[in-house]
Amino acid sequence: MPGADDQPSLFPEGPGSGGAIELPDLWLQQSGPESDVVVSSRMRLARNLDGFHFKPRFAEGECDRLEVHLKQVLRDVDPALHYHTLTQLSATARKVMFERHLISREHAADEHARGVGYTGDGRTSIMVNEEDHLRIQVFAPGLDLSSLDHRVNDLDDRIARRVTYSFDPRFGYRTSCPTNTGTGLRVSVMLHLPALSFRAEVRPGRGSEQDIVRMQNAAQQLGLTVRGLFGESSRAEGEFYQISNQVTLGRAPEKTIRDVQELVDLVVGWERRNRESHLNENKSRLEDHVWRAWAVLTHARRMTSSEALGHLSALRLGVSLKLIDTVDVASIQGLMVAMRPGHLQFEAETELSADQRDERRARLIRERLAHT
Amino acid sequence: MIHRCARCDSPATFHLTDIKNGTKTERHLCEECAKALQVPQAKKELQNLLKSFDPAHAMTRSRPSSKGSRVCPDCGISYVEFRQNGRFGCARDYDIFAKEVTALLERIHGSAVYSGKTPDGGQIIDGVLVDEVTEVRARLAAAIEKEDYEQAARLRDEIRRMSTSPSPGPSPGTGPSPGPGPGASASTPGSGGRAGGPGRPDAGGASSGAAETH
Repeated sequence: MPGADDQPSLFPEGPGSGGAIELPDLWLQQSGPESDVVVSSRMRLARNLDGFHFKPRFAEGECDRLEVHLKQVLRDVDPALHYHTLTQLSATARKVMFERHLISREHAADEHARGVGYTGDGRTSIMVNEEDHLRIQVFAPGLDLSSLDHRVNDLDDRIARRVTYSFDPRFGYRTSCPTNTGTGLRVSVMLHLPALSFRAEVRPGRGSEQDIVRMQNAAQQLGLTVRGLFGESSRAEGEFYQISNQVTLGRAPEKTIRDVQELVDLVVGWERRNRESHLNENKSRLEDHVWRAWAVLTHARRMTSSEALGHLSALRLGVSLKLIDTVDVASIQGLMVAMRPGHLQFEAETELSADQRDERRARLIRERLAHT
Repeated sequence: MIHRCARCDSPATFHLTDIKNGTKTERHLCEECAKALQVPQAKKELQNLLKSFDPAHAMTRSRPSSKGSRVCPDCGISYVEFRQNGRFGCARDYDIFAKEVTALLERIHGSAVYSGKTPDGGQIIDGVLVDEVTEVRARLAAAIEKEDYEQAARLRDEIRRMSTSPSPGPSPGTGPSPGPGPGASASTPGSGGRAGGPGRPDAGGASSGAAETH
């Protein structure tokens, strides 16, 4: 895995010296609570500064001034933060940051003055001039909402001592989009639910759709939502789902966090019970599913992201159920990031065609799995 | 505020507002009762809500009106433009279009009343700034109502501790910002170039109170 130490200055194609990025550690390669089912947890706060327009209505030069100002604020808050002005980075560097969840897809693609500050462990990132002036986000492997709550609020409070947030007691934190008004808080938990999905194949009629609908109904009751792997409007690839809150006004953040925790606990229980029942009723079928995935991953010469994600999902299930011990969950999660297009190009230090990426992806997976 | 279902007292997830002959009535229902009463499902409601953000939809549906032509003096956005893009142009839009924004927030979140922290370390519950003891008392009352006596005992002890120990005073974030605001220092971007920024939110009649809290 490329890291800050072994690859200090890549992206010669990036404009000027700002083209190099220092990659933080890949925290997804560490394991966390409930990691048999929960991949990761994330919390973010949307904040805007008093005295500046929101992004859609920036006056000429305002966006640049704000970016410079916030860069200094973040340096004052935590001198150890890495900071990059995204216009100074290559498209590949921005893609790598998106794939590590440091920035959103939109933030990677935008053209105006914007930036990102992040910690060396990659577990904290602050987007500057995304949809809101600040998007403060913290991550953890597995399910760990209470520590995220503490971390994100501590950082938010430290920033609040240096800027004046746009806030009023009636609506709370004023945000660019009314769906974030209030707490500006989004709590997301990413889950791996292969057993709830796998049921469709072995028990037609009592399939995943029914289970996923049950999960979505439960979520709706709590003002939460269920989405695919990459957030809004994405589908659930590789049986990975995100549960997150929608309501940010009229509900205290503690209640929101509790609701997400309760639903996640419920879904984790469903998934575990389904895994157990598969294991009891369809062990050979499940073993076949897992070992076939292993066989393809360790021998294929070309592989698309989507195919790899499906096999890695099967492998993750197999490891959790102790059907296979040739690899661990953390390594699989590392591969899920390292095999993505931006990371492959980062490693190759050049742009790659889709064909070239498929070859390199297959090779990377073979090599990594051979050495676990 | 969390509404209870008008029929069965479960937590309400459907919030309906009817306006007839100028009179507004609100109904709150849980999903089961909403289904029983054949209320349009949330998915559809959400779709409609999203549709209302869709520029094409807004273009065809919007009618010139005094509401639509009102413009924020800070960022220049009209309510129609906001509805087309689904994004505000500045914080003051919340005041300029307060009535419409309140209704919109109620539709999106089921409430337009804030509960949560303030930037200076305070707590707001249902739009009211509360001190710490009041907040714990409210939690105690809720715990008793839910018959969670273990939690209630913990909270009672917490209140006792707070009452016997000297007042902690303002939390570290309570004082005025030590750092300069964007307009206060020559080294910050807002200074000298403030013409580009919106006016202070407290300059308008419907002040946000943002300046007061900091």
